[in-house]
Amino acid sequence: MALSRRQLLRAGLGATAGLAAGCAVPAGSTGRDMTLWYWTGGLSKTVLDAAARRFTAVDLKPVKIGGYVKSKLLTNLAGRAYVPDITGLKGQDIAAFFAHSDEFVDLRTLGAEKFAGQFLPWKWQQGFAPDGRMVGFPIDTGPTALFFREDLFAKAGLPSTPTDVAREMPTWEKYFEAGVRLRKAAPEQHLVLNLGSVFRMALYQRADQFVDKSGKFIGDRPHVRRAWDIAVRAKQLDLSAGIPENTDDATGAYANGLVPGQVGPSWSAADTKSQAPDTKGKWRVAPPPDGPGNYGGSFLGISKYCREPELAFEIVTWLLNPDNQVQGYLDEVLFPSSPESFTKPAMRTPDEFFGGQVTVDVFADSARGVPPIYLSPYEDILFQAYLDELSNVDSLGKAPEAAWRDTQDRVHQVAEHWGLA
Amino acid sequence: MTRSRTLAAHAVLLLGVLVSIFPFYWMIVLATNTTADTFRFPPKLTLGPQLFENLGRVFGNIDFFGSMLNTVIVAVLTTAAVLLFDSMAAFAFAKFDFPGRRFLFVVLLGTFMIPAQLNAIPQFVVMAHLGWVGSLAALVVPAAANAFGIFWMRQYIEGAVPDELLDAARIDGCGFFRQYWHVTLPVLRPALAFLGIFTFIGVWNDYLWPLVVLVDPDRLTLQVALSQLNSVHGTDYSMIMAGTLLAVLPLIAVFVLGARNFVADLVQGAVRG
Amino acid sequence: MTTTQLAAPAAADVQAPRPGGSGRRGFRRFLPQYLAISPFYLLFAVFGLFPVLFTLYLAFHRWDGIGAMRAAGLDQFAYLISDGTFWLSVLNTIEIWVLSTVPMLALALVLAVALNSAIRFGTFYRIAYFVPNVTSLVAIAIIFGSVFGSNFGLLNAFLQWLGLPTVSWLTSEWGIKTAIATMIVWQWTGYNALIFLAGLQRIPSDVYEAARMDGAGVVKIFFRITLPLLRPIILFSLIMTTVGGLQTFTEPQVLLASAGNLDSGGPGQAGLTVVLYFYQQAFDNNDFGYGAAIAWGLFVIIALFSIVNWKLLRRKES
Repeated sequence: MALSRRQLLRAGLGATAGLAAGCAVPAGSTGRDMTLWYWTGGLSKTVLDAAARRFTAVDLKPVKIGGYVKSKLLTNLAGRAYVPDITGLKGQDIAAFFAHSDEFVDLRTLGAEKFAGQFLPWKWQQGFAPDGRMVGFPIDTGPTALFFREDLFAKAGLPSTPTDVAREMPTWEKYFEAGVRLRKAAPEQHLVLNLGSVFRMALYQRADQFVDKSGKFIGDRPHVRRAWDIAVRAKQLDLSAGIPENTDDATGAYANGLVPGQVGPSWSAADTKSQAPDTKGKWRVAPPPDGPGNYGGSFLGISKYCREPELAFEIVTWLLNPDNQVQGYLDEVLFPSSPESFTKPAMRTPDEFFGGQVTVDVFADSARGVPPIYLSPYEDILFQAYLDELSNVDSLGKAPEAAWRDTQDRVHQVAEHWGLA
Repeated sequence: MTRSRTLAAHAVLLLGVLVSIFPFYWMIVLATNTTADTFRFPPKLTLGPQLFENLGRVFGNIDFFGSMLNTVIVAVLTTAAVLLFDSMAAFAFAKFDFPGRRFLFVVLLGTFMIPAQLNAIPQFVVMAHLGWVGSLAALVVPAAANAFGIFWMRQYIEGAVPDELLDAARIDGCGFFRQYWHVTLPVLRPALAFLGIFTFIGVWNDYLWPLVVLVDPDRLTLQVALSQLNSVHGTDYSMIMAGTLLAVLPLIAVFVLGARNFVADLVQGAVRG
Repeated sequence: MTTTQLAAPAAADVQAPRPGGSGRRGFRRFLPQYLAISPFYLLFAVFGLFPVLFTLYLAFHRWDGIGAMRAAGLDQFAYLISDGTFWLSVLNTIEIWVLSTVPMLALALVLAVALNSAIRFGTFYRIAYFVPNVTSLVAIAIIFGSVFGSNFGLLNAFLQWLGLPTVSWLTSEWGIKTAIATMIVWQWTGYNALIFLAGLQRIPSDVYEAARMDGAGVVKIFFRITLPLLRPIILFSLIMTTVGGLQTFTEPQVLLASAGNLDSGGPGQAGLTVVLYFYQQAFDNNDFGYGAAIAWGLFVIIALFSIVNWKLLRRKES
């Protein structure tokens, strides 16, 4: 050995001891730092940089966590270590934190109420925990719309301008009928990517979900059955490509024109833009069949370990004022949650990806019409069973009635496990 | 060995090599083309000119070399600790019959059977109490207790270290540690090389635990930094593959340089005992 | 535990460990040994044992990660037993294990024999076969995802080029299991081949000569002489493969990842292995008490499998 064994041993022990001499871990941030956790595409970098320059009393430190913010936040809260001052909270996840709303500052105590009128009422409401504490301040929304490839629709003899599509496909049934015509004209194409996404879009058009406000399981009621039947109908008419979202296959399908349309939230436009850049200019948007819904959209919360909550709140409300929300839309397709933003001139720039259409018109109408969807902490947990069985119907040809029965068996078992029966 | 049999053997082996190497080749193809190319049908199978552009995006999004440095530090320290502690313990298990030996060894085996993902939360809580969250110590210290290393070393020592040598040392008045340091360690070089490389690779590629325990964006390891390239909207494959490729190259370099030694040693090591 | 002793004749007996003392005098006498193993065991106690015991404790409670833990007695285990999805995940895990272990060990043997016959380029082959172990599993899973894609995957493109029908690798039950098993086989065959090669090279050539003089053919030699002599090494590989294979997690997680339905194991939940199910329950659903119960259920299964493996192959040793 080149170095003597003794020397190596000493060096190693010394280094490890040096590393291990860590000081006590702070629960929150330290010094002048004001940490802010977000994810790629969660906030506009331009706005964050501007905020850092504007609020000089602290060093604003945005930290980009990956897509797993919820787990990371949970872990750090559990360990009471390095909890961020301000944190992004995804719409799907925020309810999971309501049971521990005391880990966050009640934004009402910081004067949030006076901002209530600035935001869409249903979105504002979603930031409140059942115990009345306000945990989340609205960032963006995900109003749904019908995205379609006007060239492929036209080729198949379907209406292909937003106005025509809006008129001809106002309901799921009419939309599916068009899908059947599409399949006849172009058999390699499918109207929908998979059944699960149809189910989700249909479900999010109604206020009730799987658990009601009193904590009772309602996943076997007509409103869920309606969404299920709509999804199954797509299978019966052979309209589904059976491809799971966000897989290579899905990207390939969009890029190669195998799925010429989808009902989805506004932010899925960002997905399509990055996955299928060659299809630029060929997409359009129209109102979603059967009315508006919402999927996604996040909040900003302030943790109780923040040492300067008033300043943090100032930063939050500035980051999310109407002008900055417009910037967020332009940079990251974060559709604003404040109606005032909808009318700003910058929002009305024609979107080249959509062939010059002013997409905000469609999204804004949708956003204004979203019902007050109530998301309990158990939504994703219960969703699992429905999605699993729908994918069996989709990809494995399972009989829909048997799938519904199995779903109900499973969800009831899960609901009981969580004390929701 | 007849000529035809040798040819057949080579044919089989070459086929195996192709299968082994092909995913790498595919990674290089993805890393040198654009993301849009990834979804062409039929797929593009040749290398493209985009490597530096893709790498540029990688460097623009994450602190690649900073996190690589951290990874090197963690990997080197962990490997050194593992080699030292494991060989010492394995020597005790292999050559000495002390009370409780069997029980302790069985406990060791039991730890293999618990999925590592289980440890994430309690270990994080321990780290928080120790004050090591976010520090590289949180990565090095737990990894130094590596049961596989003891398992492997013990088997090797049993076969490779002749009792006569130890007896001679004992007669000369050497105690346990002297026997370990002067007699056993030199013989163990090949096994140490193998375990060292194996540990190094494992630490370099470790993903789950660093993801949980590292917070400071200036103090990440390579795999965690790379995972930040995954965005929620649409994966930029060419960028991710370029980053991953660059992250693998140091490992391959180290491996190829040392492989001549240690592959022969791996062969030796499994044989012994 | 002496399962890993290669049955190389003669050499084995020389390695008997020194006799020990007992009781307090024994402890003091063996102080150096205890000191030698103590760094490992100390670290292990804090970072290995404590989390494991904590998880055992957790399995008797309900906990969502932040709040207080609420005692739940045996509820989590009762739920575990009645949970169809858990048993499905066990079945999946075992099916994937069989699907990957059998071909892998067989291929490794074949490659080892071939390597033994090929005198030239030995190092080149050995390096090439170890290379799959060098890259991170996450990156590998992404690559394999693009190989196995149903509509745009490389493998289906290749099949089409050959004029064969395509397979729904990631959207059919056995397609999914095959894809996962293929990843595992790809990763570990070379490694095991090298280990088997070591064993092969240890067999003295006069054993073969004697057999050949007795008139035995190649096949007979392989099954009657080579395999039995390799048995301990095969057992070692089998146990390591079992313990690792039953904990398969990263392959199905990355291969079947879909933002809409994370960690679900794909259609039919065909890729839902026990550890993936554990991860889903603990980290996606914040049900850490139940997650702990699942992990302990898995431990019992792995322990059972290992004991069975060991006993089966051990008995045949003379």
